[in-house]
Amino acid sequence: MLGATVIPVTSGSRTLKDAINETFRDWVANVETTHYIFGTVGGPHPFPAMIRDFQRVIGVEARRQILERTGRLPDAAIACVGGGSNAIGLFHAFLPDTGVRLIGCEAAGHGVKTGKHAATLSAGEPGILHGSRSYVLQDDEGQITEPWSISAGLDYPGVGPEHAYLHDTGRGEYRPVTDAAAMRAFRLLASSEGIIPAIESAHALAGAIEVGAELGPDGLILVNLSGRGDKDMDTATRYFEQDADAARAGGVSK
Amino acid sequence: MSGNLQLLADTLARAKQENRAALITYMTAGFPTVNDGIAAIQAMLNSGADIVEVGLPHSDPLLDGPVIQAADDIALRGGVRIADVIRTVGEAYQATGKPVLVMSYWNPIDKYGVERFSSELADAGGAGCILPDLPVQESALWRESAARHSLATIFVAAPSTTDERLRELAAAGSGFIYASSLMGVTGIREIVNTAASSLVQRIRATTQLPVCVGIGISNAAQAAHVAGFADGVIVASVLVKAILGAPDAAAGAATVAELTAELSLATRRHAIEASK
Repeated sequence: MLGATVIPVTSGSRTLKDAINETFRDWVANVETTHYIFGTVGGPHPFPAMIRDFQRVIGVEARRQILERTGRLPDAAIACVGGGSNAIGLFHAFLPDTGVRLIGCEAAGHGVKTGKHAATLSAGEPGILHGSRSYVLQDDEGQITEPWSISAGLDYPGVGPEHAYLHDTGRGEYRPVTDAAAMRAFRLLASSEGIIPAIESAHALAGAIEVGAELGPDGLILVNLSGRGDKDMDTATRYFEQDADAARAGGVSK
Repeated sequence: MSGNLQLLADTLARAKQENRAALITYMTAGFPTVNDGIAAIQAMLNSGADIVEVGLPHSDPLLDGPVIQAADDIALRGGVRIADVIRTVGEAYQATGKPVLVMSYWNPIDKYGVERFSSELADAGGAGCILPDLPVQESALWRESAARHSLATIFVAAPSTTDERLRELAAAGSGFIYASSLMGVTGIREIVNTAASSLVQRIRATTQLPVCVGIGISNAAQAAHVAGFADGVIVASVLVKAILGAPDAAAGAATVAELTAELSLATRRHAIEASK
């Protein structure tokens, strides 16, 4: 793809965490000649801080632009959280602005109570994964469990340690968003604005819809639309076809 | 009951007196079943292994190559629990009186409870733990508990580990220092990396603790070579692979016993040559 060599991972549960495991294994063998470009704010120090600093331009520019356009800071800044890189990039510039709520939307998959989710901060507990101590999804003996989300980018059983810190201090708020709520938001933005968001980002949009209802018409919300949905057309088509089939079969439309 | 740190130290000292390297072999607990795993471990200890490492299977074994990953997967899918790992240690020690270590990633122990794990391991007669992903600066809680229960804390050093870091590992570690022969994960390699002997030299400059070399050592020639400069030779993947490829558990244990005997002879080669 675009000149890169893509190597499928066949170990473990064959998800994002296993791809990270394989990358670590390759990296430790070739560390003298190889740099690991970590995709998220996880991993051992100094990766979480490095990736945050690479992503912080999101918050720096968004803060400047919203002040230019509206003359005030938002009531809430909202982003989706898998590992949490786009979210920390947005949140970082607003950390000192204590009037701005920082809201991370985690993938609740089929629902946090079903066990098929990736809502690490909402339903996980402290543990160690990929070289940092943060919140993880694990069983009662510390084995990491398999997460579930309709979006590939949120399908991760850990979360960046800075989010764990913001969660524990209360500066950040983290809420679960189900596949169904994210896909409703996906469809809403596509049909009302002609913008197809990434399914990951649709989780943030779904959170914004909830928070907007709480704030009322004077609320000002900044949403990080962190990715494009053209990569997700296959998943979205399959999802909406099944949804339509279920509706035709007499089920309740999601 | 108190743990067997002293037995580990005595075993390594005796091997040194006999002008040979100790042979340390590895097997994943619960693989292919808990009882078959115990039988394979006892076979190794009865065939010349001085010390055994019992692997605590993990969902994310970052230090391990495909062979041990496969063993961990089989053990976890079989439903192995930490209680089974402790029972494996206990039965191996009771049957042989030899030092038995646990090799574990940190998260299972952290979740299980440091004090609970170390006290149960000591009660079973365990000698200590190899903890490849516990950073030395985060290890105080474990070390306090391990010291109280007479368990060794064995850190892993790599060729890339700086001298400053080696001094920290040596000061905090006990039992022995585990030197990785190469940059990479566990598995079978054609030749022993030249980085191994220089790492051992650098470690010896920081500590009186024995230095044992592992990762990438899988045959008698490699074991003999490493026995020339290390206090112990650690062999893992080739033994696990023998069980993976065996038609049944008894055949697996027999092959593991044969391999162990060959490796054991190789670690004595220097002793044999010296007596000529």
